[in-house]
Amino acid sequence: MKHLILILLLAAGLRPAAAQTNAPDERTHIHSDGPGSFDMVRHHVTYQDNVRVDNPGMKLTCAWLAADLPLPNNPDKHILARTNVVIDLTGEPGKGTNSGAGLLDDTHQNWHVTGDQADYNFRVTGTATNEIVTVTGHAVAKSDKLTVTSEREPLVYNLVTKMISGKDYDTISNDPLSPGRTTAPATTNAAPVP
Amino acid sequence: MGVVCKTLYGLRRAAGTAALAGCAGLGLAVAGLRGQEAPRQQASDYSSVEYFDPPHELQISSRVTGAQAFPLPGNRRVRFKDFRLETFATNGHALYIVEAPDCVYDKSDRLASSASHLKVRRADGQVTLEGEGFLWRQDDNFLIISNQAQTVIEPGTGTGPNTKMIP
Repeated sequence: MKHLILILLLAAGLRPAAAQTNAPDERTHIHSDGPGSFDMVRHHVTYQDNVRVDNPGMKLTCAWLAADLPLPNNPDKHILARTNVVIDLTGEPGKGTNSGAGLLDDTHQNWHVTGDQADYNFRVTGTATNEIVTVTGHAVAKSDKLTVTSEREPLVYNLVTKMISGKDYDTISNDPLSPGRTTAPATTNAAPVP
Repeated sequence: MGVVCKTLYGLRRAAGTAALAGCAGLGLAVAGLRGQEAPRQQASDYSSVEYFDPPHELQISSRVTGAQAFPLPGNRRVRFKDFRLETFATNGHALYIVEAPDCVYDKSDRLASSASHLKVRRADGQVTLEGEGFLWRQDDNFLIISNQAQTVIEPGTGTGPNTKMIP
């Protein structure tokens, strides 16, 4: 009888663990092959050499990265990536319904973005969560539909709304059925994220 | 049976800091290290604490512990087994726990270094850092990780209550 109870308890205990392995990993992972530093007073970390960030909705690689860690009572996160920045952003294709000034595409595509520098900010203000990544310096964003280039002005991707925006950019359609090239007017405003 | 001792270990830098080394159990005292050749005897359950400068001079800023401590030649360095460093905020809340299986602490230069695996976790468990090999500067609480530096941030970090106790 005792053995039966033990087996039942073990089985009950193992079931949730097995279920957890299928759940998506919501954690932010930062890896590097090279050295790193950690300022334990300012909660600031840096990484070098083949740096990878695996964040829900975003994978990033670069050569150098600095991050301000969230504090116990402050969830704000800031990551600055430099040199050969490559970002893969996971959209939600088919869910796009919104439009706005400066929006390049509102169909929530997956984007492959490259640039000289990327600035990731996660900020909670009241009940609102803002999570954006800003890519500057020879920024190029590619989706199945579009290739967007911006030499000087930043491209901004909102990880909450899954939409990309910018100004003073060039676009090339990747759709073989509707090829074309456009240039955004320099006065077009990006949709700023508060 | 066991010998319990408390010995000032010479880790002081300035007023407002203090250090305490205790050994218990089978270990022998590492007594009188300052000003004389180290007896090179093993100590167990080593612990030293450092305090903030005024006006928080009553609050512990960091605590270094080791399951075993081996004084090294030259009377400056100690090799720790199961090194553990805990840092605290001025309000007494625990901040970070640094652990390494092996570490050498230089009390004169106030540096701790190791080639072994390093694990750092925030006291609330929401942030962990790991790497291979490290150097810790005690003066500014700065940690340099030699290789394979990595960090994991749990979701929802920063939205929970503040942490008071080290788990």
